[in-house]
Amino acid sequence: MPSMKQVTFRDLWQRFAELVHENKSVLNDLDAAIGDADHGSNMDRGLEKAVEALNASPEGSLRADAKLIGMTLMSTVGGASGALWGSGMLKFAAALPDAPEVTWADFVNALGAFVEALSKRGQAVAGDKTMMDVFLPAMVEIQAQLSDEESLPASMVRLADQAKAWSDGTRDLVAKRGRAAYLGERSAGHIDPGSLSSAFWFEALAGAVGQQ
Amino acid sequence: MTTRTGLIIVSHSKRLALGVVELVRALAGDELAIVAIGGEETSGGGGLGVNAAMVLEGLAQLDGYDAIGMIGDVGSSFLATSAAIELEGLEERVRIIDCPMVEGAIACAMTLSMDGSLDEAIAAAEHAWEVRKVGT
Repeated sequence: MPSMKQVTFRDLWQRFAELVHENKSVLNDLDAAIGDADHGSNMDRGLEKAVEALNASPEGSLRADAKLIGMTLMSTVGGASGALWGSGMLKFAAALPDAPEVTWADFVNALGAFVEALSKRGQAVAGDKTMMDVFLPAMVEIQAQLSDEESLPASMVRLADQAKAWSDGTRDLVAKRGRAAYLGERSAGHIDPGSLSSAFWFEALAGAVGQQ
Repeated sequence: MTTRTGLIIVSHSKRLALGVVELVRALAGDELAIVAIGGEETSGGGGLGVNAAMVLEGLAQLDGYDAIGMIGDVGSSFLATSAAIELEGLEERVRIIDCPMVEGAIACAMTLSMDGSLDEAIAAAEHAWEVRKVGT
């Protein structure tokens, strides 16, 4: 049974922060089309602070790390993204055993708690043109993968590719949640920026698991 | 013990929230405990926008108030507030009101200024959805 070590978990967030940083203007431009043009800057600022906080933290558990990330994102990222990523990571932390290494099943279970918190808070379902259009199908895939024969790194690379495709798929959707919902039909034709940053998270996960 | 009731106005823009407070005070009086929360150009790199930490700072200004109604502008003001409520376990103390911000705040504040309960103020604020502004 594969596991998730604290060092891998930190690597995942470091990679996520880098991906968002590199794509900051892409995310801002997508947000400019259907929102207020700050999703990239907002997430970039929060993730930079989260990685700083992780690097300064002597705590030796994934749970403490996840809680630190949640609190940091909640207080530094404005808007829906801060509330969703922040409270989601707090639920993720609460679902983890307090250990420097957890089983892959524990990690997937915590991710399930994260996705459930997002559903509850944002009340978005698949097809609403939000980050849930990536996280909901990804959760189904990652749970199915638990019993799969495929190696973990290979399946995470595949999942990251799927996540990107799910994000691309939000282009044709009409927004039902978030500020873009006020645009109605006009919101179609643009990728949802929150779905793209979510896809970057899965890319970061694949990268970190591949290095483990 | 009498219930001490307060209001928190949460907006992406501090100036917008302060404007609502200004208007509400003019109509409902200075005694009402009402706090304005929102992003401003000087708030940590973000400018406009609101997060849970800002909401918690606002709620801290209402320390001693045991019934607090929250009125907000759009989407993430409500997400940030519900995150703050969950973070501090304030479900019993803070109520999110689903109403048009200006009209609801006025209705809510006027009800409170006439010794209405928070429940009555919330009902008045929600009723603001039904009130037309022009004609019928």
